[in-house]
Amino acid sequence: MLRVIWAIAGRSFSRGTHFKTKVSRLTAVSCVLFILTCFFYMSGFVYERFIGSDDESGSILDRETVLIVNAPESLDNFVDEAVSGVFTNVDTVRLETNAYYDFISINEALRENEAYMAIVFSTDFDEVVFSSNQTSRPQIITYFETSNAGFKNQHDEFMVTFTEEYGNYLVSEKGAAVSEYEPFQLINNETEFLSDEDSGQYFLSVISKMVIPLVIFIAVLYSAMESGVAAVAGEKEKGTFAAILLTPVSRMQIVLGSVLGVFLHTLIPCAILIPLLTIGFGFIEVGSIISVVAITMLLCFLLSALIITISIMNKSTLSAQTSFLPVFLILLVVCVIAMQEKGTPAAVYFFLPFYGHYHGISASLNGDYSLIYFLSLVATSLISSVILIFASTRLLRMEQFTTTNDSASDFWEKLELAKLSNPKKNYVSFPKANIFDYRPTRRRGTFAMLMYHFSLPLFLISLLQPIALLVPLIYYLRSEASTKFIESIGSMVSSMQIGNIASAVMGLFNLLMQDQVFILAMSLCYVIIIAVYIFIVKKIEKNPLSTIGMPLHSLPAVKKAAVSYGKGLLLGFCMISGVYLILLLTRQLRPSGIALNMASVPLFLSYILMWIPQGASEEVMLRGYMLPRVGAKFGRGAAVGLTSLLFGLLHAGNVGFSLIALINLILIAVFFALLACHTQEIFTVCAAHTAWNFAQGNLFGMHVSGAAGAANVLDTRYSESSLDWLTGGSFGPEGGLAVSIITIIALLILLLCRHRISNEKLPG
Amino acid sequence: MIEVNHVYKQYRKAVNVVEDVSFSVRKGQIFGLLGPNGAGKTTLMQMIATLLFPTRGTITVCGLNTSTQEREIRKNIGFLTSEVKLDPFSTPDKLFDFFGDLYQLDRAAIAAKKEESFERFGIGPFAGKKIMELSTGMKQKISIAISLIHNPPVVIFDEPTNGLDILTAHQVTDYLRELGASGHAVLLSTHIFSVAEALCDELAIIVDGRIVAQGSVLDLKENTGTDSFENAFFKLYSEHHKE
Repeated sequence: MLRVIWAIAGRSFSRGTHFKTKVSRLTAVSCVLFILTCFFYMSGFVYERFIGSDDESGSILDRETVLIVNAPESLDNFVDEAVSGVFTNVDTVRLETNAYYDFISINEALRENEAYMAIVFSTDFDEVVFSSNQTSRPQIITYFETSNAGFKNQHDEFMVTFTEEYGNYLVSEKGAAVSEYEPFQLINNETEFLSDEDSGQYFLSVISKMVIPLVIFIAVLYSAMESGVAAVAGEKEKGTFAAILLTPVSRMQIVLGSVLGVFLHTLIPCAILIPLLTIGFGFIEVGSIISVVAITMLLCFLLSALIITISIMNKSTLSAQTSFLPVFLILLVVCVIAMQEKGTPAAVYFFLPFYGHYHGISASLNGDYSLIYFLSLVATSLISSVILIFASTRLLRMEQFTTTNDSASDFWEKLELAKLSNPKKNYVSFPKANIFDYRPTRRRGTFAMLMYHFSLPLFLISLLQPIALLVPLIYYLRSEASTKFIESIGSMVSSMQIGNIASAVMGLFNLLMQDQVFILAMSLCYVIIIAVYIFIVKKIEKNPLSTIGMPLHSLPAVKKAAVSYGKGLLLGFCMISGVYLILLLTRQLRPSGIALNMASVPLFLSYILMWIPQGASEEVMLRGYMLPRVGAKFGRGAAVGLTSLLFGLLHAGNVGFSLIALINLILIAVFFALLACHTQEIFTVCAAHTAWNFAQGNLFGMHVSGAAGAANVLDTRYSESSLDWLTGGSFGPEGGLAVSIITIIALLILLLCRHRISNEKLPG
Repeated sequence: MIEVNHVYKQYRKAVNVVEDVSFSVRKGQIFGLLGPNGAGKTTLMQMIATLLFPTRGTITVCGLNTSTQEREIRKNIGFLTSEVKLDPFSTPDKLFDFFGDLYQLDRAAIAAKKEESFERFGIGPFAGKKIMELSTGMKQKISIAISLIHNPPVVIFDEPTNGLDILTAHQVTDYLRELGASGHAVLLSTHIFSVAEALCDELAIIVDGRIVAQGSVLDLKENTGTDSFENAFFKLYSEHHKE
């Protein structure tokens, strides 16, 4: 038994496996880039922490100041009347703010004022306390630093006296009996603040939390993919697997042998990386290194079992890698989520496969990994591996995963041929509307067609935008920007109703819109969307690019496209300038001068880089691809309507979305669609779209479909008397009537032009 | 040694690829399956070799059922098909060791078998070379040697002379005849008439998944009333092939 398993495992080392397919090459390159990016940001972090640090804030250890936010009148009286000596030994700083629940600004204020704690009153504190029929108790929220254990005691001590004496004072002022009720409710919050003394420790904790587990994960994932995919799927592809199936080896032995082979393979990079990373970064405690090795081995084994299961289900290395790629990405996301985890996660996370492995590695490096956690992780990993191994064995008993039978595939080929020769399937098309010379080659049902055209853009956007989000997420995972970032998301989500999650996401989006890394990532994501559509048209449909309105087949065509693009830029700029003019003349806006400075020039430029593919991608998706295809089946009117409706819906999740916004977006979309039909290409609308968004956001400084930009040329605010129905409020002008007016004018002009042109074309 | 009883094979409930096939192969007999490409020969042989399961009907090899006693059967058959290939990165030497391990033969037996086969097929000079560097004929000879490494009583060869030059093909047919003479049960599929005529004690002609005629070459010629084996086959084929 063992001999057979060893023999099969040994095969894993005898074949040349590396860089067999484009997928593996691509994955290798992206893994290296990913790791390099991590190190790049780490180096930035190191620089900031140790070399570029000019933070002169006083040492956190000897702080005695208490920050009092929104102090009510009763507190002043309480202090003035010197009822108690609570405040005699401490310095206090007063602060007024509306955002008393805002962790971030309080945190900042604590730092600025060198205070160790903050007492925050709600703005209507006195009102509620002294109201005659008091039903609720107002809140007093405190925040205190956790970085120094002394602060907690200091805080607790202070608050006990304060609560008691101030409470008594309030009760006596109100004239109620002391025992009857407590005047307020106390909520204590902990805030994290890092002093410079802690930064060395913090650096190590970032290394142990981010770099080491991540690098190990990527290395293991990659080597598991490379060898696992070659193990069964690769053997099937080469035709050597059947020879093994023919021998009297049990299926279980084949699976175990293959898993063992992959496992040994994945151990190779670990054997190099673990000593390098741990000792290299100064984690020299033997116990934690042993623990890291053990957890990594569990991870390797689990991944080997997983990849073998996937490998068995596929017939070639390429298809196996393609199936593994989503798993690969999901596991990377798990890493990113695990990285973001603040403090020690709940115990249950230590049991979860992958998540638990990640935490396990980082926790054992930090030296706070308990044996119980380790044992539970061993249990869950082994159980999942065993389940996967049994599942693989079952799969290997199924014909469809073992046959390398050509006669079977011949059979399917014959069926396909029969289908092709079936005259019913020879679809001769008479498109209802001829847009961009597109001729359908396949018949599609109404439902299938609508589902496809509606879900493809939604799918691509919802897939690619989160990926673009990952980049700044990693970027933000360093220094205190990360806490700020995570907390701002937290407060954003907590301050919204549950129904507004989409808006919360958009809020996050707005926060990121000021981040150059994110903007460039988004730009890339739009380029990818365009590439996907070009791929669909060229490779799947086998149509020329002119069928998505992008005729670029010859030099004159390219020149014409450039001219159209220029015209489109002018058009978009004129239209949005018209909107701006209307808003200026009706005194809705208050421009307050030039806002662009040298520092924001790179951001400004990256915005330009983003708006070009952004506009183009939406146009390619809707006007370029969907319009002619839907039009061929349902006619031009329906196609214009449907694409415009989808355009409106695509922006429905944005901040400040309203009915006027929907109508406006549909109107603009109708205008763009008709313009595209009119010009028989989409370069004009691509450019108009880009110019519109760019000028609206970065020239005039207004919101673009709910998204606020940064690095604007003009600083524009709404005037105090501005009317939301005209300006569009937080959605930007596209949510207001000004845009409706301009769009309707543009539509009318377009319709008139078309009318004139078609009249001219008529003979006689 | 091989008993095939009313066997059907369908892929995903579609048309029968093999339909109601029955035949048996005795010890020491060379049985040939003859038919055009796509007739179902390979599917049938893969069912006998336990790579596929019959949709209906039973197959027994050495008295063992292919659906329930696969592992025992695999010890008793040597299967060769053009779809089972040798690892191009390996060498004949390593492959012998590898399959010897899988069949759990002891080292001495592997070494003896290696020596014998290398001698017999002239593999010796190429023992240390990578499979991908070898010629088609050499690969086929190595495949044959490896499929018989455990000395199985039942030998199933799917088109063993396919793509071979005349010299190598001759070597292979000679070896098959030898196997039959030494008491192995040999099942052979081919679409080459000369091989079928020269080698097989009994033949079954398969058209569209069904056996349309069975017997020795002489029987077939007589039954169809034709003068040559080739003509007999064409007559049978045109009678039974469905458009």
